[in-house]
Amino acid sequence: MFTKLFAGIAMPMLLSFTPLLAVAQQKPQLSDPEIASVAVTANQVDIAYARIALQKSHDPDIRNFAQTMQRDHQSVIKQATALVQKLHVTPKDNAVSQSLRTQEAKTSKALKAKTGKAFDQAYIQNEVSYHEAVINTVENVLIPEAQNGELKGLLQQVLPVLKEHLQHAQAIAEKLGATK
Amino acid sequence: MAVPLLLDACHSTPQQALSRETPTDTVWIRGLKFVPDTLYLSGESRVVFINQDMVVHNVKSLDSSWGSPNLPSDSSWSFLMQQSAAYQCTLHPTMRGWIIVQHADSKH
Repeated sequence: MFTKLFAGIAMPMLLSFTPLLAVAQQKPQLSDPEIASVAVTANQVDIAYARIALQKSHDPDIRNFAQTMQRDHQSVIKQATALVQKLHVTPKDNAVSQSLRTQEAKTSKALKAKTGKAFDQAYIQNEVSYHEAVINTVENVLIPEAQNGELKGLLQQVLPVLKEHLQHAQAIAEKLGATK
Repeated sequence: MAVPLLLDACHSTPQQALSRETPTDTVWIRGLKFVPDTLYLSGESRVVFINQDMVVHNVKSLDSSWGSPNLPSDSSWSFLMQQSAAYQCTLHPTMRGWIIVQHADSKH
């Protein structure tokens, strides 16, 4: 009984937790190749969540949102890849990228275990938390630490995209009664 | 006017082709916003929407009477605006814009 109750409480916490918030507070020193790796990984993670949503959800708002996430984050990866090739920079794996992948694996597992409205609510809650954390990291770590002007510029262009995604996710969360 | 040169022919039908008599106005799509978000037209005018963002957008009236296809980065689409309309990008629903068509007889 207690375990069941605890599991019910623990799941939303697991889904809303993200190591990026801690990363932004710690302000790790990242080189440009490491920033490029974090940027690409952060986009890949949200594409992974979108793919799960498109497999599991029948809600038109969730499906429209997930399709936009897939399309937009692929566009950002394409731009980032073109830029690093132009700059002859090889993205370098680092602790932040690794923690993003670790968290993605945990969150994807938790999402896959849910169905119906519970899935839709968990997915969109996670999208709100994830975009809040990524915006925080881009604004307070990646942009200030980027040395190359074009890399900094690309990150600055990505910010309004992320902020719109957050507002879009918040509106759906409210509609689905999934606000925190 | 330089704007018509930016038109993507793929998104223009013969009926939508620019005429020398029809005034043309431009709405830029940048930073996930329609700029300007409210466009005032002195009568019927063709409006060109130019997507300068890195992501795909579209432009659709809220009453579903008109709408563009998906517009990739650096593409454009135009439409002859005959009536005032509120519109949005359905891919990014927080992006909203307004076209206000002021007809001569409504100015008095």
